[in-house]
Amino acid sequence: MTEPPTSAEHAAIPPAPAPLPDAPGSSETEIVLARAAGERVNILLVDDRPDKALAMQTVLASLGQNVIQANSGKEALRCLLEKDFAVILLDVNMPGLDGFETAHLIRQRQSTEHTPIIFITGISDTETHMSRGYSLGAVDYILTPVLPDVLRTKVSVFVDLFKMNRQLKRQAERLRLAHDQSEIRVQERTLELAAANQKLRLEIAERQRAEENIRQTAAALEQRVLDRTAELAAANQELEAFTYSVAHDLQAPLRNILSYTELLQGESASLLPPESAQYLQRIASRGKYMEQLISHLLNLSIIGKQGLQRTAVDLNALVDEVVASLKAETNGRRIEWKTQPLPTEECDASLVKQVFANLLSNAVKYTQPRSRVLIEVGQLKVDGETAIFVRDNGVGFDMKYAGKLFGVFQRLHPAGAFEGTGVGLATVARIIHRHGGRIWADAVENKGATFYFTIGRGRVSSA
Amino acid sequence: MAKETYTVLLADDSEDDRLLLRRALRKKPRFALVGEVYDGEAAIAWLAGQGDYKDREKFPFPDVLMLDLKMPRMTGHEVLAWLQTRTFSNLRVVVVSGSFLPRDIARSRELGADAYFKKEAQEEQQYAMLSDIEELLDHAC
Repeated sequence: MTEPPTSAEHAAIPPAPAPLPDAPGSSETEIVLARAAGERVNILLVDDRPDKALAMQTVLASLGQNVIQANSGKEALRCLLEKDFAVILLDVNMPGLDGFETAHLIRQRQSTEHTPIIFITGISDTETHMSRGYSLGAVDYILTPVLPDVLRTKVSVFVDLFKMNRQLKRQAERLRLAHDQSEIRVQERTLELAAANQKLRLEIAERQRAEENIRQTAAALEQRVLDRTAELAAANQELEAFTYSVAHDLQAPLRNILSYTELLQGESASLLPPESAQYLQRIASRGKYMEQLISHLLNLSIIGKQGLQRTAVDLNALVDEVVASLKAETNGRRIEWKTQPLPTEECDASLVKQVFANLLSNAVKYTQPRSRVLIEVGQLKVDGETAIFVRDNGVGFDMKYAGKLFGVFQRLHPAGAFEGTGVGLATVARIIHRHGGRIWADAVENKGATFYFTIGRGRVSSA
Repeated sequence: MAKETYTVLLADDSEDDRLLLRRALRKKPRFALVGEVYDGEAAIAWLAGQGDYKDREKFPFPDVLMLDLKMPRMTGHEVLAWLQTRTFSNLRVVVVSGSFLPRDIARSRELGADAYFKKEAQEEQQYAMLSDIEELLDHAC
């Protein structure tokens, strides 16, 4: 802000205002205002006497503004139509429309309602004129003879006032423009925001739709998994039932074949050449093998059909029974049986007995080549669970084939090397899985094998 | 009370099984095979002395019925059930079946069978079974 000037003449000139803070192009504003300050204003001089008018014109010249002269009230009114005036110097004594009447008319026009009017009047008429004049809206009086300074001063006041007003109007206009512009900007931004918002909303809706889609797909997939699982369980059951009925139906005719074979061997032995007798023998032995196989398959398929009867079973008792019967079978051999104490478990006694019977008889079988046999039974902790193990120092197997151990008909040794149908371990595995437990094995070829199993709590569905 | 010989009625639909059991019975002098029927209906008719089997001379009431389970028209279990509605105090019933399913065994016992045997291929085992039946009959009251 600049210092306001001290000279009385220019007292009314307002200091150049600071540029509007948010107005676009503030330097532009300064130029406009400067120009506004320098722009000339119009002064209307209304006097019928040209010599008087001329004298006043001369005085007013130094103000550097536009002085327009009108000879009559009528002419004045006409001038006022054409331009804006900062001040009107109005002679009171005029023929035709006098000053007062003119002032009245001026005041009646909206455009000139507030234009300052300075009456020019003679000293002698002052008192009467003044009151009338003021009531007509005059702002000041100048007495004739006119004192130049007085005239200049009074007029310049209104000139400055007009200029100030003009500046203010322009400022206001600028402000309004700027305001409009920023309004426009605000509107634009608002529209952009609305658009962005809309876009966002659409994205969110899209995302929600996608999520819903995924959720539905996941639910559908889950349902399909459930359906497939049920189908699988049903198929498994059908397979077990099929295995059972096939095995069962095969038993009777096979039994008959074996019987007739035996009869032939008995009665016709003397009649048959040695080769034929041998063939008969092979028929009998293969038939017996088939009988065993079918019996094991039947056993295997039955496990699925029967429910699990869990009771608290002392596993030591089971092991003792199995070992006792195996000892009877292996009378000639030297077998060291090491049995650690085993826990009591909630399980199906007859099925778990089958497990021990199978694992222990396998241990006996695969230690045949050994002169010193050690078979151990014990328990250990695996992943916080109690696991039972059966260990032997027999021929073991190649761990490469560990995955095939529990498959039906899987044999890891050539048929004939060790008796067996290849169904036993599959049966054991099924029993364990029915209990919800796990079974696995560890072996080193020619060193021995260890079979581990856990007896789970929960029942696994047909698998 | 023990008898010198026991008469046997055999109920089995399998020709082979009948033939083989017939041979096995021949080795046991204390058993006299008096008849063979092929299904449950015939077994009941014989035991009741009805229809074709009225003549007790030709179709004598047996000491022991050797009963197969799987037969057409009426099964062994159905025959057992019928027997429970009668009181033949002198009749022993032993089931001789190809099945060794626990539920078949249990059901037979429930229905009043005196013993249950699985059919065997080997003669030795058949002989052992007949010996067991002999003992059962000797000790029955």
